[in-house]
Amino acid sequence: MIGMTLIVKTITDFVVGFIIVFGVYIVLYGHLTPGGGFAGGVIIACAFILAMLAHGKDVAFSKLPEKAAHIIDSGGALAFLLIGWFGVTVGAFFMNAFGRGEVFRLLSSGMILPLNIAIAFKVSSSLFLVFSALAIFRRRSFRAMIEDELA
Amino acid sequence: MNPLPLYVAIPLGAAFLIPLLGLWWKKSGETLAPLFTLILGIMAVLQVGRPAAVYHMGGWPPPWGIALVSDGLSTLLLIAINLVGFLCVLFSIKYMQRYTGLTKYYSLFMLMVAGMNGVVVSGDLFNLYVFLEVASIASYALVAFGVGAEELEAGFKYLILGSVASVMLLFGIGTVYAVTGSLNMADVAREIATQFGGQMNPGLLLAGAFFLMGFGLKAALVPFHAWLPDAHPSAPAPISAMLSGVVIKSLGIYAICRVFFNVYGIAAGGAGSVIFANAMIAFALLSIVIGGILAIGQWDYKRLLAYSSIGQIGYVMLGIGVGARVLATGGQISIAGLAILGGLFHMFNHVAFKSLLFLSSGAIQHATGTRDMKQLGGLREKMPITAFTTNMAALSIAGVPPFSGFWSKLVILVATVKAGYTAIAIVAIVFAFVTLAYYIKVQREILYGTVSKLVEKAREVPALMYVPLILLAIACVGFGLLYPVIGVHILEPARDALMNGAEYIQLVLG
Amino acid sequence: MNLYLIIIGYKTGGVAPIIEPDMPVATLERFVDPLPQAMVLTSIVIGLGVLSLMVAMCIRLYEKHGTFDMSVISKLRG
Repeated sequence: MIGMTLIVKTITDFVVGFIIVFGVYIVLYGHLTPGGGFAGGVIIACAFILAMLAHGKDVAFSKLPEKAAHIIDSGGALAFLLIGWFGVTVGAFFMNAFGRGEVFRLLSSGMILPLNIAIAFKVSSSLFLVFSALAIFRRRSFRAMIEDELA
Repeated sequence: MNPLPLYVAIPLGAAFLIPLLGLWWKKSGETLAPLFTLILGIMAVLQVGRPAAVYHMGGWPPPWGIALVSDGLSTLLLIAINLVGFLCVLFSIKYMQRYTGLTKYYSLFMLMVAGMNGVVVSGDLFNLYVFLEVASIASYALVAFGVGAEELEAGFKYLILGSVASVMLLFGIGTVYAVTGSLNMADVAREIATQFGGQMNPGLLLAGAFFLMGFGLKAALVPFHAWLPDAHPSAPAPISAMLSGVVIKSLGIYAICRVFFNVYGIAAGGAGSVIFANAMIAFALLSIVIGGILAIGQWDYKRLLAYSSIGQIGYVMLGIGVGARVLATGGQISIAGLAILGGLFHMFNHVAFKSLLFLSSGAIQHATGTRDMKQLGGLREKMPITAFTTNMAALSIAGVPPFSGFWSKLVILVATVKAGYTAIAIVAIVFAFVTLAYYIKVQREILYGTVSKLVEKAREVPALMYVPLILLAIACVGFGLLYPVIGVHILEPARDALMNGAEYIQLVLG
Repeated sequence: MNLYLIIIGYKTGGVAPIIEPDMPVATLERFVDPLPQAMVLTSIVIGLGVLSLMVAMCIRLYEKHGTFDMSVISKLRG
């Protein structure tokens, strides 16, 4: 059986959705409460990493293919820069181009919310990629070690 | 419109665009990276002669917002970084073909350029630190790009030492913030000038020591040089050229100059500034002596060049340190100006000839498959263009008269003697001859002599590789002959930016 | 390191630095400095980047040498 025991898998399936929702909440309310794009992105990435730990990398990659992760990774960073460029239209790089809104509402503080979302995409996919890259590395080096032992 | 944020935004955007497009289009890096670096290089050259400018990120005026500042010194470094970056990318196209994961290579390369441009235009201490980290992390990965045992070890060593430097810098920045309550460089400078009357309290002294160590490590001044002779030979040749040509200068020398001249106001001569000036001169002398001595004994061509880099950085630092000391002790301003001008001119020249030497070493390695000088010889007959350009660079760096290296070393030495440090000048002159000695060794072992077995099969490298070599060779000669133009338009504004710390405060805070 | 940065911003009896329209000046003076936490967050992110690169290099080095013993690995002279 690939991955861990049935108990772990069941609990993981149950929890992953909540973790992602919590991560999205942290991202969306980053400008009002503690948190933000980076923290929320890490939490979302943790959900995928948990799935990978419990089910093995094939299942995790079927949920978030490596190529898609690469696209989101670069796309998030580009989106961040593009949003920054919106600021140029009103005067300066990263100047707030959107309305300020009312204090303590979700759609307040103009540019910070879209920037947070862009960062969250970038961080979650790149952390997932880092983790999967390291996991694949490890497996390969262990195999090499075992082959050395046998030879 | 003020183009300052573009220097960071264009390479950063390119760094993320290349892997994105690279998923479908394998040549994205080879096509986009030269294009973007060329645009940046042209922008940097057009910057010459413009008045110094400040850009307020997000429209927040300093000291609250992050400011980007371009003055003479920034312009000098921007030209060096982006033009050398363009030539190195051009050289990479053919050279890097035997490696895999090329889109990642170009992406990291653009990230490194973005980091260096950021360091150079940043007007904020913490922002400078962040960009320095961006450039450093990209360069750690690039040094280990070959993923051989040697490359990985060199990269790992560089990474560990670089992280030590980063921690030191962060401590220094934290301490400066605690003492002055600001991170904007001009604001910190004003606080130091007004609140402490130009005097340095223990906190600032400690922070200064941290800065000197941290940036000194990035610049590979001698007590902190251990990473460089491993990292430079192990990296792919275009990366060696970038590391030696511009990374150690923009992350090390530029940052030292900016922090000590413009932030600490070393020129005003407060308490403690003499200590820092002395430390700079001491590190410079150590670098010249140790770099020179160790370079003679090397048989690995790129390793020899790496040690030579340490020695030449010593000359740059010597000019700047002597200038700082003369200013701090209240000596003649004209002598200090001459010393700093010499240091900056040597830095500018070193960008040209050291990147040329590393690129040509890459061409030699590409053609013969080795960089062991014992196995080379007689390349002049098989690879005339590479041999010619190598000759140009070697003559220039060794300080043979009509070439640029001679003039810059001469200016530094004259200023050192005029300032009354005859003993230091004598050491520097002796090691100028040592430089000549080991480049004669390079010529004898590689370019002339009997044609060795490996060289017999060598062919001249393709045009995409030798065109950058020729352009840089022209620069080596041109900088010497065109000094009146370059001096007035590029070097003197840079020198003035360093010598008038108060103007920097005026410029940024208005 | 990060603790050191946070200590710089600390104030005894400080409050969170959020400005509201009708706030007395006395409260404004008790704000803790918001900048160090931004610095710490940035340095944590940078630390993460460096660490992951370091781990990747370590694994590759282990692949090459089969050991983490630095005296075995070190071939370069420095």
